[in-house]
Amino acid sequence: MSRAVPVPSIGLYLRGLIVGVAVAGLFAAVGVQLVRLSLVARTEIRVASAEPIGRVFSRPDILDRGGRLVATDVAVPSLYADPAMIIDLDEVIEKLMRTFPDLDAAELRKSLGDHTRRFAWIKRGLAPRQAQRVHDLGLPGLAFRQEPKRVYPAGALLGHLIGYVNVDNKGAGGLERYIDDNLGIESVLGAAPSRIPPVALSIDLGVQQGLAAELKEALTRYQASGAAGLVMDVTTGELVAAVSLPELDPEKPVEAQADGRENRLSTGVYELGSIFKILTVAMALDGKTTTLDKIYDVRQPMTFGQHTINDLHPAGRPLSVRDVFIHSSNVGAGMIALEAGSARQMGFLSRLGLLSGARTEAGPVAAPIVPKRWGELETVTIAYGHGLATTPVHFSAAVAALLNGGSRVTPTVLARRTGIVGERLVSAETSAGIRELLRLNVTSPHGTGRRADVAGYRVGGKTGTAEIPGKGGYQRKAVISSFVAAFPMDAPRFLTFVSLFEPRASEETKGQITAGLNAAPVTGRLIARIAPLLDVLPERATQEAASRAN
Amino acid sequence: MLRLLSVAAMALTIASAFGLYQTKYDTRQLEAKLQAGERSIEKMEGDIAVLRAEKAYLARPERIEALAKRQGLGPIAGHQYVLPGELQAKVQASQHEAASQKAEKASVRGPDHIEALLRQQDSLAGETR
Repeated sequence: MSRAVPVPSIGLYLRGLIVGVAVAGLFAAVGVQLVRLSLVARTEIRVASAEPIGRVFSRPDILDRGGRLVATDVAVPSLYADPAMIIDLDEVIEKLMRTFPDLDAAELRKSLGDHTRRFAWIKRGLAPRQAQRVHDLGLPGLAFRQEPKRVYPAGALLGHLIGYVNVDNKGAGGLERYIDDNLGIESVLGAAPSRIPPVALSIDLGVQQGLAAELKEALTRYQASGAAGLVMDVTTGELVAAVSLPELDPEKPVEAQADGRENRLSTGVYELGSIFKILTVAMALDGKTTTLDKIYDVRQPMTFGQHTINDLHPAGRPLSVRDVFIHSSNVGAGMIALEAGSARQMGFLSRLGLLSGARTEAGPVAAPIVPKRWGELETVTIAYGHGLATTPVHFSAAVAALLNGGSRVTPTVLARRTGIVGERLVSAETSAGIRELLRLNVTSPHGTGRRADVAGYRVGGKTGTAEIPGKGGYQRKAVISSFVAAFPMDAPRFLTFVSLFEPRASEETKGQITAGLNAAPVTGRLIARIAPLLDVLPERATQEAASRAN
Repeated sequence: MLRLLSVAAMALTIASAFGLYQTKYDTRQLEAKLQAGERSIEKMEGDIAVLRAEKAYLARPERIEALAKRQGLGPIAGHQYVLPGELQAKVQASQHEAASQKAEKASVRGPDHIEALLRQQDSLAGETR
């Protein structure tokens, strides 16, 4: 079988080589692709949305002090259109207008008639039933997207603090705005719940409700034009409750702009009247320019040029600092302040933070109105709470520092995990002196605060009835009557502040509009109601006395 | 030899093609399953959010307060606190009081009509059974 093997020519050999290499290359490519497909992790396939979608945001929940839900996001359907897909524009507009009469037909025609657009919102945040009705219309070019929508289960109870969000679920005021700026919100497609941990408030919903209910009752009982109140932890500055009436519904942000709807606790500045005597006495005690037993002759009114400073109920005898406080003598307070001096007074108030603006997480706290000229007359009027207008939040924080042993507190609406020890503002002795005076003002039969007493809870407090400045001077009949109190007074834990705006005289108040007869009893009822919620136990001795009496 | 190699390679390629197709098909199935799962999680999460909001709405203090008032409840008064050591005495005293009150009621008002009615109903129920 010897056949002559044809000697392959160079050309044939080359051809074979080329084919061989090509085939091997192809096999190798197939092999590589197989390995790649089986080994390499597939990148996630996402359906790219054809339409440019408006950004929406998912927000963290807001909880109260005890973990109760105050604000959360729920998914709601929002209706949009792809104008390029719309067949019969007139039909779409007519049917949509029949379903949602509040839509603007002209606006709709403009946005849906533009065939270059692929996306246009029609109506956002629909109820499930509304969405079903639109779905049943069976119109091409209309579609829904799930979007997060902020809801407030607690309703208007926390309205002034919470603020509000806009249609994209972005914070536009109050605490919601603070969350955007400081804690961050997530831009989302659809309505995924937020992964940001919830925000814990210092507010306790139960206490907040107690305060709101008492203030609402006071509003009708004393026919006041408004009311405000707060409960503050004196060591941490946490606001446990903060109510300003009328309330604000966070779901109706338009209302916030209406007159008289401002947050009277932080955006309104007021001359707060005699409750300022707490600061005056603290200043003099801390500066050691007086002692609790020092006697002042308050029998004569003070005169500065054409101004005369009187006492509402002149005592007709010289008074000690204790008596000046419980009789709420303007002349006495003026004398104590003059003795200490204007510079000391200004420095003291400034140190307490009363002369500058501030802010909490719920928004700015208005700057006070400070007199341009701070002379002797101003020193005297400020001593009893006129001539310097400040916010209740400012004032409460200052008094909290005087009560807690002398450390500065910074008001907050967020829960503080640890008690922050602030800078020392006054000595422990001064703080003890102020506590004694406040308690005395409630226990003494002559004290202006005796109607605020609650058996067992050792309440201490001070009244303030400030005439509201009107045209041509102060108005005798229009006052802000306030009561600042703390309990339990031997080691104060909570401060309460209650203000009634323009209360009317009634039979119950014996024809008077002074704070001792309206704001003080409101505070008493408030403390009786909230102390159990705040884990403050009533004192044993008084408790036994009470049960014997029953 | 070369032919054998070619045939083997061809068979291998076809086999891997089928294998790949199978894997891809399975993957698609799994992906669809995963997506369905994710969608249902999303829906559940949405439902949970709504239910939590509804629960919080129903438990808002304003509403609870009105309901509690209707039941005759109110804030705790100072004298209602009892120390653990005094509990025994307090319970006995209140039981004693309740017993004497009941006796007093019975002597003043005669028989308890409602109780009689309830008994009557019980016995009627017993008969029908």
